[in-house]
Amino acid sequence: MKNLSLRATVILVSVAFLASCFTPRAAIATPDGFSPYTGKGDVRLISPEGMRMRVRIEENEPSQSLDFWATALRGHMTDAGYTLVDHGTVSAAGGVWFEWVAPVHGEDWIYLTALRVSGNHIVVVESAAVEALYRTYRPALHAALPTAQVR
Amino acid sequence: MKRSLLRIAAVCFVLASVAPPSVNAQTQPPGQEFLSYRLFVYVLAPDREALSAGLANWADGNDGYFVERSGDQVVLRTPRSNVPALRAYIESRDGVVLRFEPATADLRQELLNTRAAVSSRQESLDRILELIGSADIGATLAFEQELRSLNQEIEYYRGIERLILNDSRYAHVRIALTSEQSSIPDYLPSAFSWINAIDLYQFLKDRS
Repeated sequence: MKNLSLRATVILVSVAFLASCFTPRAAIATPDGFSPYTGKGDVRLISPEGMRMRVRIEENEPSQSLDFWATALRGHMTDAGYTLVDHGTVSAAGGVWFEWVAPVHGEDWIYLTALRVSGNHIVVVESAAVEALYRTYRPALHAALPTAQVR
Repeated sequence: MKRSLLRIAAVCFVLASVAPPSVNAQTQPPGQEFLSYRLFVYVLAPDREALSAGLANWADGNDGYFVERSGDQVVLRTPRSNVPALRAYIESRDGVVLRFEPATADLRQELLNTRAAVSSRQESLDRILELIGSADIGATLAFEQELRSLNQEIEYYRGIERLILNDSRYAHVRIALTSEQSSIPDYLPSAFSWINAIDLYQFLKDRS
């Protein structure tokens, strides 16, 4: 009986371990000036000024193309009151990015949202900062976007 | 001879440098010549940069001037009578005036104090000019020093007087420009739950 329970425990641990090995995780190259910090499973990075970046994975459910999700996101954000200031594609990786402006405590903040569809998953990248600070890190953020992926 | 030259130089110096202020409060509407008018305007603008540039040009073209200009705000001075036209101009450029907050301050006491300071120094200066004619060389030199000192003080207070009169003549207008409303409108959920999670304010709150 004791052996049986030990065997069950080993099997459960092994299954959990294998499951964790195959659980998709977000990944991105660390942009210049940022450092990773511990988060709840997502990739989280922060600059010395406190500007943060988050990369996470969502299910591509219902399974749709990048164009579909980009249109859905753009419509949702616009309806929610954000103003689109710039957008483009991440050519090497087949993704899209949007930069929105919204007020935070009377200041204009830029909110970066980027998407990439990878099979059954969608990689979502977010970052935001007050406009002047965002402009400082913008080149580094955009340089990192093509490396956002499911691992 | 030397003493006479000194006297002449001192008197000429004083007469040349004590000039009346150039700005005249009489240009203001009766009863308002001692009021300083300040205005804060908060504007929702589809194109902040264009409106910012337009406001600076508007100020220059309407007897005023701009003090500061950026994409976020414009600070300008304009005759008070132009304030209604300023609002009309903002609205003609598709700006939505979210806040329009005028305020006034009475400058009378400050102006009277300044004028009294000028007047008392002017009296001292006149008295010295009367005495300088009968003074010896030593006293003349001392008077000259005193004249210079009084003259500097009179110029200082006349400068303040000009600033006060300028404040009463020109409204001080600060226009803050925003490209978005002060808060995001009511929450509009997407049919896709993960898209609902994409939100700047949620992102900023998520510090875990």
